[in-house]
Amino acid sequence: MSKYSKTTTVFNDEECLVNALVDIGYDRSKIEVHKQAVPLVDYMGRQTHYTDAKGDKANVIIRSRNIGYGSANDLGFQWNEATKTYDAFISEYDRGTHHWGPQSTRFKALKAAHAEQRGIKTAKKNGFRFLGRQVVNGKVQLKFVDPRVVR
Amino acid sequence: MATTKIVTLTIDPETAEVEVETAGYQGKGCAAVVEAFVKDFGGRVTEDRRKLEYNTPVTNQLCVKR
Repeated sequence: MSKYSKTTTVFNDEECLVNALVDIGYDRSKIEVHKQAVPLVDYMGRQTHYTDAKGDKANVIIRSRNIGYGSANDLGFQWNEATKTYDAFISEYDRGTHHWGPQSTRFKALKAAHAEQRGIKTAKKNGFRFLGRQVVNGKVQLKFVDPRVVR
Repeated sequence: MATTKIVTLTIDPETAEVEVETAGYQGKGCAAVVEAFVKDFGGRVTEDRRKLEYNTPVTNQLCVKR
């Protein structure tokens, strides 16, 4: 099935989203980034109109041929100005837990990778120096030092 | 005596919940750091905000619900 549905996500930064997609294994060259959203297409290469009469569109896209399994449709993320986050466009076929559904391993990994990227970006913006990354009890720990010393 | 200020982010891979832990900050400095992360993550402070802002010593922990 190629019918799209829209899922609100916590992804709020394009750079972090793209880096997170790379972190979970997608080749950067296979990730399209468009300032203006462009059409998504189904498994037949046709533009779809499930969520928008003018056509389903997205700003960050992985085309179906690059998703890594026999995906039905393109996977897209469209910036939502109202929520200030990206909406994920995932087809009905691809919403399974073994594919790209919100409860799938892939989607969870992307959320965690985005959180990691977001944390690193915020720390850098605030002048913190990265000390290292480790996994403790299955959780990722990122440590930073604030170079402004308290006396 | 100089105090090193450390910020630790702990990310749960299952839920993507993020904890921000700070060490070495005085008073509201801790809250300011956490707020900076909360703001960028688009999350919200869910518990112990007052404690975080006013307690010393200053190793505190706070959840950012995603």
